[in-house]
Amino acid sequence: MLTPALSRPLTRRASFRLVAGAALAAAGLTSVTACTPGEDTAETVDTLTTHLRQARQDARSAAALAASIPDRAAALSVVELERTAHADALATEIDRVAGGSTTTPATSTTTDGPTPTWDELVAALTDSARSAADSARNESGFRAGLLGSISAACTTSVKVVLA
Amino acid sequence: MNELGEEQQALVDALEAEYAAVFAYGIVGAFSNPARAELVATYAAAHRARRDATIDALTAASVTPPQPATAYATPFPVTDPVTAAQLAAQAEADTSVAWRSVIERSRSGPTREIGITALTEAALRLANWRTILGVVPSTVAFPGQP
Repeated sequence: MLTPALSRPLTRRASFRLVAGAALAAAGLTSVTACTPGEDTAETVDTLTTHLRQARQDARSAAALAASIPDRAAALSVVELERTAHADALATEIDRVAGGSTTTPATSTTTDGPTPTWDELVAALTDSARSAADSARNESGFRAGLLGSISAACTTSVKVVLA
Repeated sequence: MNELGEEQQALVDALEAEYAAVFAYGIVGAFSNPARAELVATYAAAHRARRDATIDALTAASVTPPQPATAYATPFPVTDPVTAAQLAAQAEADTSVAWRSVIERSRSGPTREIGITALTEAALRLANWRTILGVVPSTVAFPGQP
């Protein structure tokens, strides 16, 4: 992190500002999640589950495609691993929101349909990025940050990893 | 000035990160490979635009934006194109963290939208710098996660 080398006219302790920001974010998360009304829980779980399914599907697609395009297997493996990490993080959040009262969709290993094409994977990731961003706008606290981060990761997959 | 709300404080923090990033890109431009001059100029301009937009957003919310520091200490000496690229990557990682925090701390959809856009742009630049640096993988699963 870059830190101010000279004290500034208005405020000091600026070198700790991002650290302080992170701490504030953590504090905000606690208060936000603590007051989530119960009737919203089902809706939240539905939303998160939709993103979890998309993440698992993208991971499966990337893995299947890697087998058929060995030249791009390394890049596709990155996508597979990141989408799997997204799914796992979403599953953890679903468990937390539901308080263990719902069964998180299992890590399905079923292969559904034919291996997607490269363009289909790119389209799916683009859609995942958009839908995660849409949900992030309507969530708050940690969940908003998580979905926003997942959206950014999907866009980066499309524009850098698979570019 | 009244005590800042959570969302306003998040934007102030993001502005501080953008100030530091703009400063960093000045150093990056001085030491980076001349072949990357256009890339550096484009990325520096993006940070200036984000800085200015954030100042405007704070001003519109009747918050006096903080001033930038006169100078910033880099976390490591920058002496050549490689360390310059590393500093650029650091600036992108720092701004990613700040903008993800904006998403988390915002109280309104439009501000979260700004945070998502800014986080995504920083994540893309970070991935490009990591590609240039030969870091594998070039991306991270959770951009902006400290």
